[in-house]
Amino acid sequence: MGDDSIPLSLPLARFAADSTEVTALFREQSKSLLRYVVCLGLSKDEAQDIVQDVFVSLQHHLARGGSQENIRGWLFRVAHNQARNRQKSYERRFAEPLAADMDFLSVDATPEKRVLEQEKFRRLAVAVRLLNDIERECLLLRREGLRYREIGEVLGIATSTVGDTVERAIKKLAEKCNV
Amino acid sequence: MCNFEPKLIALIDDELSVEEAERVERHLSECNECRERLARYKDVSKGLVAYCEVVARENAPDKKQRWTVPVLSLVAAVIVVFFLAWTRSEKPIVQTPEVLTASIPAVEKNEIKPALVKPIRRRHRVATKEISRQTGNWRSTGGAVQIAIPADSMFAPGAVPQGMNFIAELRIAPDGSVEQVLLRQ
Repeated sequence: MGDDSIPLSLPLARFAADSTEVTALFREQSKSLLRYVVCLGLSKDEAQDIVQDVFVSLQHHLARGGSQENIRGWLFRVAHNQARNRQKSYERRFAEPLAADMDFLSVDATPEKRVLEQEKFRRLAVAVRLLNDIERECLLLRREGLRYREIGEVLGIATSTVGDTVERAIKKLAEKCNV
Repeated sequence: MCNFEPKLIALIDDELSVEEAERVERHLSECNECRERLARYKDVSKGLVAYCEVVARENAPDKKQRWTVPVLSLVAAVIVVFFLAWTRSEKPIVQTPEVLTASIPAVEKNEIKPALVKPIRRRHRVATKEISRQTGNWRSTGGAVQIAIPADSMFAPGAVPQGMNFIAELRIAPDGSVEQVLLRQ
């Protein structure tokens, strides 16, 4: 589902705990992390703060000889926890996404199709807000290309639970969107 | 409901084993309903991708919320500092003999020390004057945000004279930061 993914496990030799590797990883994953944190409900400024903190933490983690298995999952787990901590501080609100911005439709979409797609998008946005936290987080992490096992590690739930949750959430959205 | 329906989304996500995926694919070639469901789930998944893009692109920080918490914290801190400075300039509050009798049951009425029977001094009139003197040079600015802060909500009941309120005037710069905080009564 994601387009900014890296292999699940990287050769140990690749990480030498120096800033070059972390910088490269930052270029690969920061956009995806930023998008995930913003979709959780934080502002762009806060999301950028979190993403920067995550990579600073990664550098410390590697310098201490921390595990280099599934670094992508590690990044998302730390980002997720930091985002949740900030959300607990004060209520998060953000503007409803503008349904008018439909540039993901093909350029030759007819006006009628645009109206239908716009309505479907609006219903989807509402339906996403109605999901519970775990369902929404599973879908957002799934969108970023994480496998069910990785999603389970980020959220601290079993892989089978991730599968059930994703299935339930997608069905809910399909039902509410009348897709 | 078809037995293969629970596996459709896992098929989309490539989370099935090779054998399971082959079984589901064979079933899809024979079941129209499951093919339609699969198409719907794929559609929803595409919609989610677009949704995340739109939210990420258009989510702007709530400017009001951005400064509300730190500014209110600053105002509260200013009020607390001001109140502490004000109370230190006054003598301690003394209690009426009735209260002391209740809290010190062992003390006989005729043994109460003279200092404990002093009446409560009315301070609010003096306090008003002091605050006026301190805020006399402050000018109200146009376009500022005013926040009424009942003193009762900031301090414990009885800690401040009844009816005392504060007004915090905040001058907000165009970038949303606070330029100046004025406190008055």
